[in-house]
Amino acid sequence: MRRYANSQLGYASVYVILTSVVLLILNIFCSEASQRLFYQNQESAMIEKCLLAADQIAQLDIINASTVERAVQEMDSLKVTRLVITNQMGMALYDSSEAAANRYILLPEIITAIEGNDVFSWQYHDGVMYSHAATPVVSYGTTLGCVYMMEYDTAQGSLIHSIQHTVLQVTIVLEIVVILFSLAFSGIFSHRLRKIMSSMRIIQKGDYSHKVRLSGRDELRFLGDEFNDLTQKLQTSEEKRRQFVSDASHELKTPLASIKLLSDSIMQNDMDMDTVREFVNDIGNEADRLNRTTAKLLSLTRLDDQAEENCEIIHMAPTVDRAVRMLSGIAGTNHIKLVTEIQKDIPVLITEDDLYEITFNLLENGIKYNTFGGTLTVRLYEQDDNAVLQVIDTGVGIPEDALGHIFERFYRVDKARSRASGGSGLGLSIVKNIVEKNRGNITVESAVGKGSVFTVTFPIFDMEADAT
Amino acid sequence: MKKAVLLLILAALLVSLCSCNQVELKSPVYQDPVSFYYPRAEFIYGSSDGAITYETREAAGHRSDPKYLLTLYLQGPRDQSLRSAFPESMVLTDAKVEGRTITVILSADVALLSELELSVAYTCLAQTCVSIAEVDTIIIESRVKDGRLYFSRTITADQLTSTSS
Repeated sequence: MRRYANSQLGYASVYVILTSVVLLILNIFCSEASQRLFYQNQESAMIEKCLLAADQIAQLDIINASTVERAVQEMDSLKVTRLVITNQMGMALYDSSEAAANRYILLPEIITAIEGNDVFSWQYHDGVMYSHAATPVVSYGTTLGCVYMMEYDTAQGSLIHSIQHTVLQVTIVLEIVVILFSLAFSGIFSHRLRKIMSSMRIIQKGDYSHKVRLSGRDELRFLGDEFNDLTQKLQTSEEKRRQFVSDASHELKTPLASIKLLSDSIMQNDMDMDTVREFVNDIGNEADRLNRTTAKLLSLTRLDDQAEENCEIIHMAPTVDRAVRMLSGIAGTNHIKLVTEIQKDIPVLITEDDLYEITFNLLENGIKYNTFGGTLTVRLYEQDDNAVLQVIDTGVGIPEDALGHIFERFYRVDKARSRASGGSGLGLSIVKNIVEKNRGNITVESAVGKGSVFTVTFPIFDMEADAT
Repeated sequence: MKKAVLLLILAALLVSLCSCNQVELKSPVYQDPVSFYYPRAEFIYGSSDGAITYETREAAGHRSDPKYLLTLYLQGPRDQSLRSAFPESMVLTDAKVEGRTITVILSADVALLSELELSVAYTCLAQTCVSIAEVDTIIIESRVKDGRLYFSRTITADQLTSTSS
């Protein structure tokens, strides 16, 4: 058995990866959005504080370490983690942390502020929010230094951390749900697909009666139904083939058995020449029957295999006349009166050979199964845009229960009579096949002891409409 | 599917190999390393990094020659993320160590710098001097061509510690 990769698992993986990426993006977006919200509030608050302090410093007459320290002491409301005030050279005049007092404190924020710009920067790390802000101290258009503030906020930091943590938890739960559902759906889908595949294998082994049973109303169910229809057709076709082979074998076996019996009789018994001649004549007849049966079988096989031939527009009357003429001798021998009522100029789209074979077979049957001194009427006429060919006999008729089977291959109403008259049981089957191949229709009406009426109809070819 | 996974693994391996190679290229071994301090070309706000940082250079064979090392320093940084603190026209006239004091004499091109730029430049130079010589006082003088003193600043090592938050 061939092994296949599980494509559904692949699809599920792709689906999980895609949803993971989407959830990751959403997670990052939520995290960034929450941080940005705090950032905006913090920026305005910090810059405001810096500007306030810078304004106080700028009002000092002399700016040095001691005056700045006094000014800072008056600004109790600032409440920041670190406050640094520098001169214009970047040297710290005041540092609340005392780490950089009287030293050059060349932070990027301080340099940018001394260059005349307000700066705010922000960092979030492990639940702690670090904010940095700096503004220049300007007096009468001259930059005298800068105010730098740093805040270390765990309250807002932990809030951000909590939001991020919650979003992450929701993301993980969602992802787990997505993975579980993906696996479940892919499992169900794979199971259903495997059902179809295993059914295919069973049918491959010849069990055409097997059916796929799938629930649901989706494409797979549709595929299963189509598959069942296909196997049903295969099964029917296979049964027909078996029946045909069986029937054909039987039909061929009977004359062969007769030939064998007759030849054995000649070989084993002392016979006079007249009896031998009679037996040899019978062997010849059986051989002829065998020949006819094989010819018809070949004809049927050809009809089954044949694509539509190149049809031609013909008038039916001459061909029907030819078939009548051909069989008039046999009809005369059997004392059967042939009556023809043929309307000329009825064009149909068919090959002449096909029409001849239809007419010949129906007339031959009409003669074979007619009564001594009976009548066989052939009518050809036009009715409702159809050409109608009727063969009416006054023969033995067909029982009602046999009417539904007479077009089946090798079906005979009266087997003994049929064989005696040289019938193969294939004539009507061939006729029906040819009629249907040429878009026609054949029906039969019959009454036992009164006769039968075979009616064949073909659409008339409209010279003006159909030619275009 | 398998082919795609294999390709991805190969690509990842290739990237890793390239990265390793780059790391090796960027990590030369110095016999006698010194730090040359320069301002960053672009500031990174809010980070723990200050406005000034250093790149490592080789001083083997020149440790006792501060003039050579400072001339090398004034030529500017190799690292693209750093920039020179002094104007290109700046010339080192002399550099001599006496005890724990180094006196660096520069041309008068410092006049091109603002007070803040001068602070940054002198801080960088002073920190470089501390790195190349065992000194704790740095006297930076600027003199015009005829030798007259134009500007002078004395920086002590304890004034140099805070360049980061």
